[in-house]
Amino acid sequence: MTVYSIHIFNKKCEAIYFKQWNNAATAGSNKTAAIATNEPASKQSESASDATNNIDVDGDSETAKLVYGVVFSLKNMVNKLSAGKNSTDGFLSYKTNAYKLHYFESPAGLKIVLITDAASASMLSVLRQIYSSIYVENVVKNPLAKPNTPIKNELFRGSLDKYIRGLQNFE
Amino acid sequence: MLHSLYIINKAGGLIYLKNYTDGIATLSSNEYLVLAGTFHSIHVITSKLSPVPGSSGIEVLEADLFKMFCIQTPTGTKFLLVTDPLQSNVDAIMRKIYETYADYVMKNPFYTPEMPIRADLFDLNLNKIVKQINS
Repeated sequence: MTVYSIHIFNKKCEAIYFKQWNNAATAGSNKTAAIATNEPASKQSESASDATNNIDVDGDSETAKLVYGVVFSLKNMVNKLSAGKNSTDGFLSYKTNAYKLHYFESPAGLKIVLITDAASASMLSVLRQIYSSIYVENVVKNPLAKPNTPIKNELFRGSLDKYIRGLQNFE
Repeated sequence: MLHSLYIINKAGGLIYLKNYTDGIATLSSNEYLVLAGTFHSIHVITSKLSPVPGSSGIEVLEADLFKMFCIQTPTGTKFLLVTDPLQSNVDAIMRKIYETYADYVMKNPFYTPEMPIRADLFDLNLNKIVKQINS
């Protein structure tokens, strides 16, 4: 069992946090490198510095957009199919033969996406825990953190990393 | 409990649709076509998103009201089965449905591949499988 990565999106669909573990390969990383080489030199250095600034927000933005797109469409699909029934959580997870993506959305529209290996059991309680005792405690209750902006808070980063590494199925 | 069966052709078109219970909402036929098209694209993207190389597309989708199982045949046709979250043995059911499809759709000389499926025998035999499980 392995945890590969976590994405957090705000209610405005922007990636505000990203982290990966266990040498997960990001799908779009080669693509962005290819695009960058086609740009003029001045722009290239600019986008390179942008990339380093953003690396801990959305990993690489291509992947973050793909993840958001997939989750958004699946959520809509599930909501359509459960319209009129008493569904509380809606979309929970999906699985391929190589990985499993777990999804949690807070009432305020914060979306947490956790990618693990395919054999992993339901991580709903883990996601709830991350939300209620790591995000709420370290970001929401932090008077200096602007809501809906990238999370640069060391306390949050540290405790999230510690929590994920402490999971029994981390590796 | 089996709620619905959708069959999507290799181009993302919905070629068969059957609801067996009212456990999930019924949509308009237009919405079903959109759903099939969306699922088809997501299936491709999910295989690209993988943290490890060589992933397949989405196989199981879990929601709190239902589970959706997807298998893709070697020719690209996708079978989507919407079941109760607690339904077990879905692989075996899928295999049965695929056999029924092979026998009554693919072996039907009047069926044009990739076109909507209208075959009474297929309906009839599917109903038998579903009845066995849902009763």
